[in-house]
Amino acid sequence: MAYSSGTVTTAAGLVSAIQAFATINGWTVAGDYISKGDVYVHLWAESADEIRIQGARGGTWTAPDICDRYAKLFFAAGYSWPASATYYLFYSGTPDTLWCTLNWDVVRWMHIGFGMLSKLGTWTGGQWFFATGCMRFGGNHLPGHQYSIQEHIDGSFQSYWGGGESPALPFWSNCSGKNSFVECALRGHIWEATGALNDAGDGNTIHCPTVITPTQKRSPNALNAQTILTPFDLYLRDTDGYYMAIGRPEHIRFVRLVNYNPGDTLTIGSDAWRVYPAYVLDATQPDGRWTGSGGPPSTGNLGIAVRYDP
Amino acid sequence: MSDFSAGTATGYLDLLGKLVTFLSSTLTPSGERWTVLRYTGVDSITSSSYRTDYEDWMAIKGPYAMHSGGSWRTAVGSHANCWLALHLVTALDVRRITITGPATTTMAPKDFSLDYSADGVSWTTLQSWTGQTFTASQVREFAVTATSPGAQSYWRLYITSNNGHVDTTSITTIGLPVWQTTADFDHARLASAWLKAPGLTGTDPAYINIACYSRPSSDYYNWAITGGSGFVEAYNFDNQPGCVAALGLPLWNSSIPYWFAADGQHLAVSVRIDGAGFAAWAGKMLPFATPSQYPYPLVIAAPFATALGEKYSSSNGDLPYRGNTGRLKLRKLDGTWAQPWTWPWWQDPSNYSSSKLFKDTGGDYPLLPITLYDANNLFGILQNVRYVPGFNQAIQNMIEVGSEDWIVFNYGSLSGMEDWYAQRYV
Repeated sequence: MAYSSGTVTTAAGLVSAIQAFATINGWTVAGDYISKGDVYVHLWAESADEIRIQGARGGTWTAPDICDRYAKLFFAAGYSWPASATYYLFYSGTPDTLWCTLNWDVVRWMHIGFGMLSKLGTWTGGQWFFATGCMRFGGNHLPGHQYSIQEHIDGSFQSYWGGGESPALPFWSNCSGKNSFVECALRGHIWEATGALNDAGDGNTIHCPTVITPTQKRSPNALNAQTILTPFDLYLRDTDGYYMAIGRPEHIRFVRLVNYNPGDTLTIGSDAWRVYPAYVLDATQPDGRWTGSGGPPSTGNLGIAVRYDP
Repeated sequence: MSDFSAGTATGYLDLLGKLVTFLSSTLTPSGERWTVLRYTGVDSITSSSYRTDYEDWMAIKGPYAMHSGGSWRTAVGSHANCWLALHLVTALDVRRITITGPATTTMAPKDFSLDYSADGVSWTTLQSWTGQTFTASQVREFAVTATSPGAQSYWRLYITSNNGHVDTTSITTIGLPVWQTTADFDHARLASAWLKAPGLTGTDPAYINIACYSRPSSDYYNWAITGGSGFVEAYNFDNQPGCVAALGLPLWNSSIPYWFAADGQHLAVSVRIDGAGFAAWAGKMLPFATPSQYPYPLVIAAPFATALGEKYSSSNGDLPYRGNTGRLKLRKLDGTWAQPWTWPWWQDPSNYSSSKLFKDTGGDYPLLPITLYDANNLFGILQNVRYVPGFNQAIQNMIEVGSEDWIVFNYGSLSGMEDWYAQRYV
């Protein structure tokens, strides 16, 4: 079974659902640790309002193999885990990818994912993990501090301070936090992450949106009103300033939800994809909006498509 | 499914012949082979003698090879018993010829014959004319009333005497017109091909036309490439339906290593000329749209934005895949032609100054799809060619991607970070 859905009422309940789904699809689950092949993640309910995810090279949960940061799906001060939320779980192999989308209050969405990249080249590593909300491990996070929805659709820096809400797309660079991580030894590091500026000035990060700006920005097409499912192609900036194309998470795509509703299934040849908003769909603000702009925060029509094989 | 061919042509005319053979005869699968709507013209023009600046090739006119004002003149004192011979790439049953006389009427042919040959060595006279005169630059047509010998590859105009000039005999233009329903079509031109790709379903064709053009005295020997939406026998080259004004691929008339990649809807060509690299692409791209939404996404790309009368070393040439120039044209839905941007060369036109330059990934060279787009559309990608980083790159590097082999080329003699591309080889 490569797809499952249900409802949960707690963070721990969602962790349990993911663990059960992973087991069915051939992953090894040992306590809060989930692994398959070269993918090792630690997924746990840190509190009633927060799930965290973290990776480790080779399943060694100590430095230097452990990622020194984690991503999280959480409800910060002023918010709490919803009384009932619907989850959608997806698994695809070649390479292994497990994805979870959570929906509550009808219009709100969050996501967790992990797996192995489709790598370009023969570099060592490739496992990745992501969660909608993010923070530095052991960093200066304060409840209610800004965690941003990021929108780099045209290469310019613009963030959406969501207060306690902290939605973001995978590998969509953040203002202060990091939400996506890749085990990648190309530069001598072990774990690379999306970075602060997502531009040439940030020499320590994996880049996605600005490098492939045109493919994100031009959708949907004027010629046929079709939105393009755009791979999250990842680029690592080397210390000499040049960029290395390293690969992509194979079974997810960036999508603009124009002419589509959350949860719609798109069929392209033999492939099927389910589409969901990044956080909150707002057709009137295509590129999203932050609270300080005078309206409720949203992620516009930015969204995610997940390979769907029921 | 794509097929590939590589080898060495003897020159720009031979290269076209090899491409036509590949597309129409050896391309696999056979269901994707192209139809040769018309492949005609000459691959050699010879004469008994000629003067400098009045070479025999000047008697052939055609699109982009007009040689305006030029004419063939025999060498001094060789004005009698002189000849001008054409070797056609496709045998032709000649029933009419046209001769444009020189400005000096005494140089015009007076007594002459039309000869044919199967081998260019043994000639047979088909018909003779005597006592012919021309006014200055007059175009005269001569009907061939003799019994047809059938289609022949070699034709010769053998001139016994002219109209009194004691120095030279001259012809401004020789023509081999054939009536095509509504108009004449002249086969006296440099080798040219009108091709129809069947499309991947066999019912969605693409029309591509390629014509050789040259001017030996200016040392250029090129291809003009265009594409349109149909083929009309009576029409010439880039006035075929829906055609874009031809782009130019600079070549030369010497040994040309070449690499072809093609399927039932496109072709990609890479060549090496005098140690420099050149590329062209023609056919339907892979659009981000269904066939009903974007039925004819035709692309024509070549280093010269027009069929320039310049040689391969011209500074007007560039790698066509860079996009946002007249060197890459895309047929839009309404039949007009656009000059799309291409990613990753143009990462964002509004923010080009901060475009990212790519390098190898730990010693591997990822091949990035060449994606065509504009301000409001993401059109699609070009098949069998890819962007490849120029970082520590070398010409004809081979890159293995699964079962595919790709070969790396630069443009011209450039070696910058973004002067490279890869074309699929196997």
